[in-house]
Amino acid sequence: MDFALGPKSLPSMSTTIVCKPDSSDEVLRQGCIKGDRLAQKYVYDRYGGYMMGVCMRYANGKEEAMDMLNAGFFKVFQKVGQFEGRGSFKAWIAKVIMYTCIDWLRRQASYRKRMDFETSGDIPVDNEAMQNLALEELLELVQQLPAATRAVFSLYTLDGYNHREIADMLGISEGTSKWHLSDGKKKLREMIKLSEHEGA
Amino acid sequence: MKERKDGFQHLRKQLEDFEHEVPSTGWKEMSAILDGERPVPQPAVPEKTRRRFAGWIWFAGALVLVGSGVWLSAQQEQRLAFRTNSQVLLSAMPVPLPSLPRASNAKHTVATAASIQEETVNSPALVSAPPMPPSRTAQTESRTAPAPVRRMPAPLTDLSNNPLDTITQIPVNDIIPNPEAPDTISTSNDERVFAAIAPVPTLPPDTLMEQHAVADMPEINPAKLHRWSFGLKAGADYQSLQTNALLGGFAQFRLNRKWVLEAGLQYKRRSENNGSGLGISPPRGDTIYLPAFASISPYHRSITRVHFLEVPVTLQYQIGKRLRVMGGMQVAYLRSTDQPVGSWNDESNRNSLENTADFTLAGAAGAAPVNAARFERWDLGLIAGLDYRIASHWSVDLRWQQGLRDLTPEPYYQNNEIYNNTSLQFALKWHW
Repeated sequence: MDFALGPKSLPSMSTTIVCKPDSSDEVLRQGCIKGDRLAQKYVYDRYGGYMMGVCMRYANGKEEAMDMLNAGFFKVFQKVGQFEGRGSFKAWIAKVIMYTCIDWLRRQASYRKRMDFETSGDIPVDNEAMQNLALEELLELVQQLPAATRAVFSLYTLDGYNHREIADMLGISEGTSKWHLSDGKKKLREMIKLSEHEGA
Repeated sequence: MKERKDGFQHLRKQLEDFEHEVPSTGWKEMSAILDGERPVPQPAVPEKTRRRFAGWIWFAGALVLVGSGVWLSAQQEQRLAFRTNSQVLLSAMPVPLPSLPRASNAKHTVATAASIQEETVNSPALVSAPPMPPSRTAQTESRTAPAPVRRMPAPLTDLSNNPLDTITQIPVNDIIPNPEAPDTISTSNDERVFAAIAPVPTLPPDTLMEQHAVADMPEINPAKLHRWSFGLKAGADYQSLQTNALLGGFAQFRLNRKWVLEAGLQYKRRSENNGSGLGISPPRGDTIYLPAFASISPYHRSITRVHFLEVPVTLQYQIGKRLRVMGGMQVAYLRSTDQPVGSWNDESNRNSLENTADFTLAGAAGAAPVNAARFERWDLGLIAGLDYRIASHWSVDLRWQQGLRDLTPEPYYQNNEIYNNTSLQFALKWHW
């Protein structure tokens, strides 16, 4: 890996664009295209929290989420010139971050397990118990799932993708995706019951 | 994207505006990455868990199979050697026999080849019956209570042209070895017999060929032993969810009646068939790659084909007249190519990234060799299977092929069934 491939900061005197913390997305994007480190910092500060929330769905903890976030932003700053303005800048960054997370998990996870759940329905989940949990508490539980199961669970339940789309994204069959989802729900339900028991 | 009512709507609602605190060192690390002072974070990939142990078990099994084959082959050759020598010695020995006056049917005379030869040298003219050792005579006289009979194999030569009209010609099948005196023979004929006995190897009775054992031997012309034969084969390679064509040729060398060594050269091709796995292009260069993009991009999806050139070598053991079991190994050489497959007509997956470099795959620009690092160039595998002869020049071949290596060094492709050269193969073979 060549570490020197990242965009270098350019002298701010060479550009007429002046980036401020409250500059518009377009101004910041233009600054990022020119490699303005200040513009990059403002983008990072502006959307870092939201993107960190995206990473927390796929990571197994804060440290890994942080690595995912920085790997994703590195990609964003490299490719920002290819954003054509369709949709919001935030949505584009979120997409890059999300696929960085998926790629991350693909490299880690083993999808060898192949089970067909073509006819099986979703396992019922105690939604009431889940609603009693704060979102961050739930994410902490999700982070305890195995990497492949976590990816499928997050993509299906939190991001709303269907099994065919997930299968395409992860390079697995729909049956495998269904199995991971069922397995994730089952484990999540056990963890919720365990946390309730410990709380009582 | 349709809203799905699955009990998680409230979570998705909360996530729309959910933000998580970024650690205070976040931008500092990001800046260092952008300056090249720190590497881009990479996932911690677990150590490759290749099943080497299972491979060694297969290898040991193959060794046992080959070892058993060699041992059985040696045993078989020993039996065949005895059989052949006996036939030749008993039927083709050129012994100049003197004409003898017919004698009483009550007497049976047996002479050794040595005594005949000695008599012939000493007395060129025709003489009366040669002297016989008393002990031999005594043995033959006692044939009224013959020993348990073991019949010899069918004769190889015809003795009908023997000019010695005074000698009763004995079909070899009627010769009854006397286990108590291995170098003598008796006959079921009730006439006077004069036969030549050569020093036949003395073997324990259980090594003698029995009639039913001879009948079980495969119908193989002895002239074809240790001969090469060649053929072509075509069939199917079934692996996971896809079936592909298989073409090739082979050469066989018959080691003996039971064992055949076969070496072949065959070609097969695998490709993606369901929109996942092989359809995803590999990482390019040293940038962070987003393989999932390839699957949902509307314009840049490609398909990867992997070409296998395989050299299987098997040792085959004949069971009965038509069936052979086989075991062996094979070496395969791999090539792979990416080819574009056109648009991905899923408007729901259109997004603002569709024209970014992430979607620009090298293979999408045209069929081009994939980065050599993506696939191993060589593969090693084990083979077990059956070959059944259905006609004089035709047979069917069913074999299981177990790949011993992951075909790609990239971690997230490993443990994927498509990337292991394991399959079930069926082929129709034509011999000449």
